[in-house]
Amino acid sequence: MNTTAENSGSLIILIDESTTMNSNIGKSGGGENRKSKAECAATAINSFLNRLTNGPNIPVAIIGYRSDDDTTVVGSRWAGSLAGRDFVMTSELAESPVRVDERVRQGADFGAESTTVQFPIWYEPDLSGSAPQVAAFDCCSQLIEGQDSANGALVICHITASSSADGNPQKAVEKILEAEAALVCNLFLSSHDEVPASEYKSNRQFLPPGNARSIFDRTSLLPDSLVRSLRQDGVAANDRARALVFNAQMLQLVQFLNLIQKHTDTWMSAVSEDAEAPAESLDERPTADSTEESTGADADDELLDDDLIMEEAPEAEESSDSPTDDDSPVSVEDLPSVSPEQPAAVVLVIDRSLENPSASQMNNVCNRLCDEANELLEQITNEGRGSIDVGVVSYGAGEVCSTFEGPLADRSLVRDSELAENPSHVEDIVEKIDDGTGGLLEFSKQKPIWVELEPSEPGSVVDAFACAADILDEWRQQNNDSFTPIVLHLTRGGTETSDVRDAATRLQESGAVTLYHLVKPELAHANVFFPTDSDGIDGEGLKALFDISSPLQGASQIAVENDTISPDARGIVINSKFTMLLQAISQAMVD
Amino acid sequence: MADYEQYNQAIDSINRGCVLFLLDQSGSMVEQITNSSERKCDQLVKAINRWLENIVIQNTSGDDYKDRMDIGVIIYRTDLDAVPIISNGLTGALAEKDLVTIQELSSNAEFETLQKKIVDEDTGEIMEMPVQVPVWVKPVFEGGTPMCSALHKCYEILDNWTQQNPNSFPPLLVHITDGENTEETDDSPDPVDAPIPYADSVRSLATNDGNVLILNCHLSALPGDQCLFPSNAEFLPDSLSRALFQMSSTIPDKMRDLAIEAGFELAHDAKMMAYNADTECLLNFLDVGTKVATVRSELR
Repeated sequence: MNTTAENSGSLIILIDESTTMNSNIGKSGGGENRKSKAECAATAINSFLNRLTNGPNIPVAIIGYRSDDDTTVVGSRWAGSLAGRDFVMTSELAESPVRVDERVRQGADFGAESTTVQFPIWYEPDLSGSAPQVAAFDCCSQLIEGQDSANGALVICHITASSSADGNPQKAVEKILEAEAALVCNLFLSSHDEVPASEYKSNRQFLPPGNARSIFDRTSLLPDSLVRSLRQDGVAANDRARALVFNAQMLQLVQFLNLIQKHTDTWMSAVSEDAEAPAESLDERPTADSTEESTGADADDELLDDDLIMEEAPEAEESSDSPTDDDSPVSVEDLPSVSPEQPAAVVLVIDRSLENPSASQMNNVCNRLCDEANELLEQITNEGRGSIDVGVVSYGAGEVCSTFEGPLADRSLVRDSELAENPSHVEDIVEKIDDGTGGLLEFSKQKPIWVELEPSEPGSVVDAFACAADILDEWRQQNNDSFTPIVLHLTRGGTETSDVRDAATRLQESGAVTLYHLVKPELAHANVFFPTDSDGIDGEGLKALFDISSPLQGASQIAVENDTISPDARGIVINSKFTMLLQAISQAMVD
Repeated sequence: MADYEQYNQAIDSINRGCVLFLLDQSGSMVEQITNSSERKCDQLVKAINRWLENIVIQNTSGDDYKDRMDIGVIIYRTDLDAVPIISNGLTGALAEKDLVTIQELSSNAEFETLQKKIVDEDTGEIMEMPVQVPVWVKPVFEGGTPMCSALHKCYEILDNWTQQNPNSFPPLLVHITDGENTEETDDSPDPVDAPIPYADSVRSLATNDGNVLILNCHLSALPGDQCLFPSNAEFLPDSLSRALFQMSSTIPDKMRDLAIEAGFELAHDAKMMAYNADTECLLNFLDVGTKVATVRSELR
């Protein structure tokens, strides 16, 4: 269920208080001064509440859950003058912390002066036993029923480090989602120092099997506004990203709460007279309220400073190459930007032919081209960010067709996010990777397969390119002024030179297309990798493919960092991998 | 001697085995290996050190060393004037001898910390943890690729060894390079082919159990299609791969059987060679190519 920006709502912070929260939180780089998960969560929550006092006046609840032996202790954790309350308005918070600590904020640079700040505390963890998550979500359901139904959206922000002790919370969460326009966000804290967090994935396949995927199934989709916000901050998020962070360290926890705050900032204050205008931009947020960790020169502590977290957004923009920053002597490449609203298009055209299709072995060129195609499609689903429309056309023995199978059959172009969720089937493979110390690490992986083709007698490359041209014609009608579509032709190269030229002409007739080639000849041929001329290419037929190949887009940018590519490179490889397919598109993506 | 009569000797303390590594340390080894951000020289050195570590572990029980093998590492490069530098790749006390024993290896290791990837069994995630690893060979890179002189040095070492160990399983020469020979000789018009006769002479050395086996692995900086244990030269992309093909030994039946047991498909006349290797391919090549020296059933 996707919540659109509601005018008002309620926020429930749901916090795990089992003994699992006693263990240390993962911390990149390891080191001394370790904090427990509960301490980090409490600091992050108190800091978050403090910032909420500057936003719209909205109702907030803190529900903690734990169970000792047979007693389940689930309920509101407001204390001090707020004890016994379920929902508290954010305007009441400033006057009623349980106490105010003095904590030391490290200066922005190491060695700079540190300052002492007032750190109000509303929530303090009291841990024991295990984690009854079904009871916890049921408690949330009851709280909502008790709420004034004029309040619109509900956000549940769940922070945990455990598996549920009282059964699978799936049904309890579904009940909440059915009853209300609810946004259920889950964050699972990390126990490992060096494992990176899995943030805001759109497909459960990208999460490790087990607990992570189970939590994914009970996490809401992120609203579009938050997906855009993540991208602005340099976090990759697909259109259908879920509000889930798995293996979060302190930094990801703080960013998660910041994200939720951006959502609640768009709500109207419940009390209208002196309602503050929703804070539209982060610049309005006063930084004096940033609260920090006490003691220790932990690098993580600096990052709690709002200034520094906000600085990450401009840094992310600087590090991605903007098309206008090209300063090579070749003329500036003016690439339109790419986003889900203005997608790019990539069509793979696969030649199924073999010299001798009936006598082929397993390792024939057609199968190898299909392997390359599946790898490239997987790359597109990983890097596409919901901004690439993909098509696959195959040709051979007089037949040209759009080649998706299974759930995508009969579709000509599919968005990469939809492609990701609909492979024709998935293979379990054992992948071996370099383990970093000179050995091989085996692990099981699921490899998605979209394309499987039977080898055949040669077909017509002119017809194949015509089919691709028709698909793109239709696409252009809905997508003007967009990034020039890319056609990647995968072939063994047996085509007549005249057919090659005719095909290229037909392709370019209705509009500009960037044409690339990935060639695996059946006879021996040297490895050719984005060459600048056809000297290393044997035979008229293959040289003709070079002639019709477009220059590699973004080559001048790539050449800056990669010695193997020249700024004049053409988009053709022979007996090599086409590693640069998405470079230009990725550069043009709106961050 | 028919093949089934050869390459049968087990490797044990009476009939010791020999593995000699020949490593290219030319300037281009500083480039990144394909499909990775690591340098060729670093990946190569990690692979060799790990291989040596495994050999030590396999042949050690408590304080006891099974003295089964002589091991050597020869590195080659040129200085800036193109003068070949062929030297011992092991450092410190080990550098004094061309071939060392496992005990000597074990007593002379330095240690460094690397990040190792492991799979967490409960969650199926890949995690990294720091581990201490022994280091015998360090990355060096300079100059050109004098393959001919390097092979000549190997000839001298293995000539000596085969005479002293006439009944042993023949030595394995494991050669890893990233490029073409740059040394000119009078015999060959094209430097690429110049090392072929030198390799032939090394292969002519033999024990009673068969001729010296030469294995060649080529490391790539570009993602060209990989080639592991090819059986014919028809599809090899270029003159370097064809030269290495000629310089490589055909895999003996016994070693082929071991490879198939380990899950690798190899043709009957597969050559012990890898081309356009990335890190994974290099490690598979070493694993399969030296199985006879590392697999338990062959050691007594």
